[in-house]
Amino acid sequence: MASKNEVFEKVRNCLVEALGVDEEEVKPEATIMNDLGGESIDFLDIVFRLEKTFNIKIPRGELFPESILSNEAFVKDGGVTAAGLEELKKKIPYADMSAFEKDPRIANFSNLFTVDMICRYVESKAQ
Amino acid sequence: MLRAKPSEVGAVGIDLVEIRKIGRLLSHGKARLSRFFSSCELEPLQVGNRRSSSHISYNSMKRLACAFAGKEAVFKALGRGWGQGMRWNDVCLHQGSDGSWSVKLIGHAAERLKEMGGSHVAVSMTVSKGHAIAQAIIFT
Repeated sequence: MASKNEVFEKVRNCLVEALGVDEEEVKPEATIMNDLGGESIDFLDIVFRLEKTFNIKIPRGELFPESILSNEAFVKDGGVTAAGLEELKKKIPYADMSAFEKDPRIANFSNLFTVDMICRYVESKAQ
Repeated sequence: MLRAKPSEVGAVGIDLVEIRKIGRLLSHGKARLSRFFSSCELEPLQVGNRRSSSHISYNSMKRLACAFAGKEAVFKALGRGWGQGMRWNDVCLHQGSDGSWSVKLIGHAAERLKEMGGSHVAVSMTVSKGHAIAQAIIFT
């Protein structure tokens, strides 16, 4: 099994190739969308590269589930409800929810998708 | 004189895609892409045997960029994404010989349209300065 450092370096390489960013920009806490400029089309490219690099299969919506919060029960007044937070924890267990739980506005949702999140996801697939 | 019953606009979606990014996607090969694009979207492409974007025609990239943007626009109009029960292939974009685009919904996307009371979806695309732009409108 690859070490955490090896996983990070390979994930970093995938992101550099997919997003056209410099290595230095790809830090563990960097967010895919806001910090690294990722868009929906980039998510597909990232998924393909991760699959090839780590020889894993990433089912649709498993790594980057979209519109989880389309359910009206999970969103209220521009924020995620307690039920919504629980749903998110189930759907993306490898995401660090601590900051988002303190300020669960929808606008902050994309910040859950970080380099670190991808590394944890890949590590979980290898187990 | 017959008058068509006016349709009402139920919802709208829009998306913009950089065409060069599609080139990177195409380099992954048709097998991978077929998980996200239907055969009617991939067949017209002129993808070379080598997995290199330099072997892919700009027209192919432009066409797939439009298909991608169209799918995203439709998903936005439906108010759902491909993580919410819908698959990418539930939305299929087709370009006719006159250049116009049409969309066909199947599976959960078709169910969602019905749920919304929608009768049909119209899409329109344009390409400008390396970007493909798509708009989808759901009519009730």
